[in-house]
Amino acid sequence: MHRPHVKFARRHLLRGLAGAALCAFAPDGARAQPAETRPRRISWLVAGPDGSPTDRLARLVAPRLIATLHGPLDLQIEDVGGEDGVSAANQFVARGLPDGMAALMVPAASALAWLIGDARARYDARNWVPVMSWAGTSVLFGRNEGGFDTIAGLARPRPGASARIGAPGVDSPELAALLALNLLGIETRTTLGLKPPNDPARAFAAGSVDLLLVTRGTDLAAASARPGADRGVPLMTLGGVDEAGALQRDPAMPDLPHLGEVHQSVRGAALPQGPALNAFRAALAAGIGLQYGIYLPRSTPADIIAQWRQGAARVAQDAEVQSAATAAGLRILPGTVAGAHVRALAASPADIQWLRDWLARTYNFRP
Amino acid sequence: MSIPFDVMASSLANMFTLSMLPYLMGGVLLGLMVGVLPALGGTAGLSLLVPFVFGMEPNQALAMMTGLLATVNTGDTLTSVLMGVPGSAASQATILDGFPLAKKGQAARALSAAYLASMIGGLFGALMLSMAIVVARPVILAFGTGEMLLLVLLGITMVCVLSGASLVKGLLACGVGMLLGAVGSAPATGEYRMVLNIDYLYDGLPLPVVALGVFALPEIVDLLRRGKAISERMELGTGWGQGARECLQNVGLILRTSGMGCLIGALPGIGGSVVDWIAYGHTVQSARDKSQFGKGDIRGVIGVEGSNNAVQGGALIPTLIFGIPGSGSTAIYLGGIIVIGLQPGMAMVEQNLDTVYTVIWSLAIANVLGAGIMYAISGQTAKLTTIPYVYLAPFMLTIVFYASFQSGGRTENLVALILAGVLGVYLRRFGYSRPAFLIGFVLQNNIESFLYQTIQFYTIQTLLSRWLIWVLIALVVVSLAAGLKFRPNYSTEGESTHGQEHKVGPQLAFLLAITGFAAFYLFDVHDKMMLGAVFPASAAGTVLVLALFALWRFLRMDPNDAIVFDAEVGWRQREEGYQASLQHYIWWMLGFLAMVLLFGFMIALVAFFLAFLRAKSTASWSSIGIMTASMAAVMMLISHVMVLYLPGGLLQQWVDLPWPFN
Repeated sequence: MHRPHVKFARRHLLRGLAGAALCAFAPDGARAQPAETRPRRISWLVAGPDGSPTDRLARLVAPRLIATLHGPLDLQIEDVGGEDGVSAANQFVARGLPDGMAALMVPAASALAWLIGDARARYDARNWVPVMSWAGTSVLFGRNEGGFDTIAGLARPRPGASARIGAPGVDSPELAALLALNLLGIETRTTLGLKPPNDPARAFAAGSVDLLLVTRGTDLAAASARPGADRGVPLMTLGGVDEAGALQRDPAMPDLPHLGEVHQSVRGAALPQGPALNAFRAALAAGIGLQYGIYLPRSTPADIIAQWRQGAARVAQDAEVQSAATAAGLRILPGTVAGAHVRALAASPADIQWLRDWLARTYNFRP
Repeated sequence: MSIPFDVMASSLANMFTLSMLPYLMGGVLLGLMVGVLPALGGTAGLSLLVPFVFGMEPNQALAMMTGLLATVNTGDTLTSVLMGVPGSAASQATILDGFPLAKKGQAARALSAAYLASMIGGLFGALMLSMAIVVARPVILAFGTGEMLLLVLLGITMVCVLSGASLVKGLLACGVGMLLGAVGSAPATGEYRMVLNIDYLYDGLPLPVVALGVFALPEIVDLLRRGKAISERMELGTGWGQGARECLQNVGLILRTSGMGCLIGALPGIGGSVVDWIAYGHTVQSARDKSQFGKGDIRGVIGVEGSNNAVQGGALIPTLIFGIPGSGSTAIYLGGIIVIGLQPGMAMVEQNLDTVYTVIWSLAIANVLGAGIMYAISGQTAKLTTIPYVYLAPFMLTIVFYASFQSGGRTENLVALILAGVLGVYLRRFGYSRPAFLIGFVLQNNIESFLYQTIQFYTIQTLLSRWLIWVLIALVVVSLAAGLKFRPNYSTEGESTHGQEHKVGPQLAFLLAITGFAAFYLFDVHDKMMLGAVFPASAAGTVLVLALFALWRFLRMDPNDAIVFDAEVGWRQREEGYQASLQHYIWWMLGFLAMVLLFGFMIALVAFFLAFLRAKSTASWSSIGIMTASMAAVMMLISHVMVLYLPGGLLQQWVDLPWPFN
């Protein structure tokens, strides 16, 4: 289970600073001690297995980020469990490592598993403090056959014929789209079990579903270029959020209206406050805004969080890190914006209960 | 799509750069070695490689994996011809005429013809693959969910041919494979099935681990039990030129059997393991003078070897354009592609065309390299086969353990490996087809999700209004009929004398265990949501009914019924080479496992080598020491160079030990 060491010890050592930095990182008992020369180990828990998308991203980012922190540090990347990161997140809680000495890096599935009440998720995603995250996009495409090529067409009542949409499962980024359609009052019929990326695209191309949610920038072109006359048309985005958590246009697709605007135009009013909206925000955060995230425990002191976030901001400028994000069709979010997403996760217990009841009612989903 | 000559040319040029050629060459050498060593075929060979390719540059990893895939069936010829033991499952039929030729002192003639035929077949496969890629786009677009489901069902029909003498057992093996494949989360609902509250099972069983357990471990056990039979020295003799000439005289035959190999490979499923028999059948049927077949007819070798290399090119077609594997080894290969971050399908064909051509060129070049190398070093390589197996076994076992661990870096993998190995040993012993098991395991996920999607997307009318559906239904029917008609009347898992008086206890216990497993599975999924349970419940129900049927047939104890089969009976009756009971080596493996879990990999390795070689070989302590030290050094080198960790045990949790013991 132990993964490679990447050592950044001596060449980064600025002995003068080391003592101070170590005091900041060390647990209380150690603070009185003089500067240690032995590097302190930072455990970086990653959703495994080796070579998983999260693992690859971690190997790119973790050494760069650790190099920005003070002190002789010894980075240990540990792949834990499966790709959904549930085991890694569980370990993160169970280990209870000292502040600043452990980071968690998991994909959207971990937060989603917690949100929908997966019994395996023995952690609370609201306790994660994001250092940085990778956000996807959230463009909803409609088929032009069947009149799904405009917002008005989408919102038109269709007695007896629902809008068909596919999703891998309710624990996927598509959950936000399902909740958005619910907010818009659009009757939908959901087909679960479509494995990305091939199944949804195939079903959309074949006309088996009317709507397709694209969560990666790289998949946008493929979604609109369907064969023959049946084209996919980008209708709207579910929206991005700003630092205050307000819904705004997706920076990747600034021409498309976000959910709030669409609701205004087809229902003539702002999105109604309440558990349905809060659940949507939580799902949007978990599934789209935090497609990958690096987290510290909630108890971490503010100064350490600030150090990590500053480091993350520098890493985000790194050419290789940027090109990896572009290649994956993702945007890098600074910790503060990612923090707004995590705050959106912190819907009230009643909101979360509403979501779980809604899943049970709509999809008979009882984890 | 027009033919993208520019991409083809640039990929080809890239193949001969220093950033690619060493990887391709490495894959080729590994493939030849895996082929030459009995017990390891393409499936096990790729299972050993795939856990190590993550983090490599995608094109380099592909060149390496393709090199291995392409040349296993060239290397295995040597073992089949010289030793009469299949170097891999796909070269069983090579033995029929190759081994008699070697006994006549004409091994060189047989090998020469075989290598050249392998090369031509392999190039033919690569050509077919490149043609398939050119027309891939419209084909992929024409395949909706319903068509995909039928394509996968077409693969399942392969079970009929693979079942061998007992169809019921083949179906049972396939069913058990499906049930084990379905462990973990349901594709549609995310519910967990048969996880028994064990965290490890939530993610499902990893394919490379199961494949290594079911395919490699039983063969290692089997070869260990054969003991001394391997070590006979066989001269290569003469006839290199004659063999090559005869091969060229039979180019028509090679192209026909290559075509068959390609076609069977292109149908999803694990056709690769039977294609040699089909090719052999055709070779005999189409020959005018049949008198020498089985006694050393060179055409028997040429026909088979042409087909079993072509099969890989064919098998890569559905693997690359649909993401559905065409053979056991391509199933693992597919896993490797995903590990390096590529997703087969339309996107890959359109956006990563250079990657696709890397595969095609690697396949073609590897076939030429493989044949060339085998021509050059057959004499030396032949010596590999004279090493008594007792010396090779601990090395192979260690590598299998290590690769299993690396597949996700979980120590639990080793437990799963041994359990899969025990299952494989008994599947083999009682004549349940292991390729059929693997088909079930691999295709389960595809069947389940496509079945579920098809039910949601189509009504019967809309489904049947699609012309391609009818074409595929026709293919399924043809494949079923042909499979039942041409089903080989022998066990695909070795020989046994069907006997009345022999022990029926073990067979009965195994069958009862399958019955119990299916019943427990049904119980486990009974309270799940309809969508999560419908597939495993139907599969478990079918297995249960089949198992009860098999029990009824079994208890009639008809000696002519293939359902009564125990390879142990054959063993004991032949006596020759019988050295230890089947369980004996399972205990050795369990011992190794226990040592790893307690003391970590390095300490266990040293202890196992010392104990095993001392107990089983006649080597002196000093040579045992050298072998142990060299294996330990190899493991340390691999771990160090590839920055991989070795499994730790309980000891490491309590005590801080220095590398490499930590």
